[in-house]
Amino acid sequence: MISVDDYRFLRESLIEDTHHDFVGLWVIPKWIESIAPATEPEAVKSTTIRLVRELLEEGLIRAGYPSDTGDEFVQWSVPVQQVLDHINAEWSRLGRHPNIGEVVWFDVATPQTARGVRGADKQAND
Amino acid sequence: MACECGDAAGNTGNPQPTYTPPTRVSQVPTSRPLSFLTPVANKVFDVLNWATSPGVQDVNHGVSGDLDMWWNFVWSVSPPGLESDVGIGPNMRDPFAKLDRAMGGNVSASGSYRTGRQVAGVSQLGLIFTPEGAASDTEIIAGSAGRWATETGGGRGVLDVSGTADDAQAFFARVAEQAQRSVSPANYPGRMVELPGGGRVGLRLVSKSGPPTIDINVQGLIWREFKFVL
Repeated sequence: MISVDDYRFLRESLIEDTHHDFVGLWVIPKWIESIAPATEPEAVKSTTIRLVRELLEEGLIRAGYPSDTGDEFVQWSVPVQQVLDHINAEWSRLGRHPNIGEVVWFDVATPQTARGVRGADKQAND
Repeated sequence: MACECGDAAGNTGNPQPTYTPPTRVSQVPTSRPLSFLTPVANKVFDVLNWATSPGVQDVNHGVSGDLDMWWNFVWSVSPPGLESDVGIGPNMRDPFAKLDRAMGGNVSASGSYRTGRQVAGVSQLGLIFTPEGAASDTEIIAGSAGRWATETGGGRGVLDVSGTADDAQAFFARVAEQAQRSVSPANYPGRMVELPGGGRVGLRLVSKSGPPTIDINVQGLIWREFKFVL
């Protein structure tokens, strides 16, 4: 299991990196395993999902995938829980940690895009 | 490459040989027999009757011994001069179980297997033979790189390369020549290949910040992106 400091570092790294480029889900388990190589695969997965949940709920990142042209981000306007369910299901289906381009990507959330995500959550709760 | 076929060489020349797996540990050959598989570099063999072996259809605590037995078996039939890896799972999505002769032939590179916690339906077992001494994935990356000026880029594991889009494409082409296969995740805006060791390398000609980007997921390599910033 990674330490509180390592978790904080992961969180800051993911937020920072989404400012530079779209970040694939695969990057997070790779980071966790590089920081704490003895982490069990299930713990890697649960830590990844916990981190993604936090950042999505706080409106700091958005989930989706790069456009075909590679320079735009296609956001999933669905509730956070639906994104997490998708990640969980696809990860289980793979039977291993996600690789490049698989399951979902993340981009930094601007105030405008974050409103869209929260709006989707509100719709789901109505 | 000549086939070192023994008497059981009914599948000589068949690129998809089929054979019956041993069912008990005692049946695993203890001495090294002549192989009845045609030596083929970077070739996946399907074991078509894998799913009929009831004890090994799910990878969990109860069958770890069966998988060890398989690794021993594969090691024993590996043609001289070739190293063998074992992959399991539907459609060989992830050949994660690495057989390393130097480690005794039954050590998995997969933490998920070692802990016996991986649960997956298994209907296929693939064997991959590669020449001993073949370049590792890391060596392929290093050998394909040009004499670039580089500096740490923005982001963890990102390397900025003083190169053009042509340099990025040339690098990817050199890597692809040594790759095992092309892979195409649905949401990847570019081309991607899988290397013999299971690592993946992708080329995005355009990224969020603009420059052509090489995505890299190779075990043991700290870099995950090369950005060609010229």
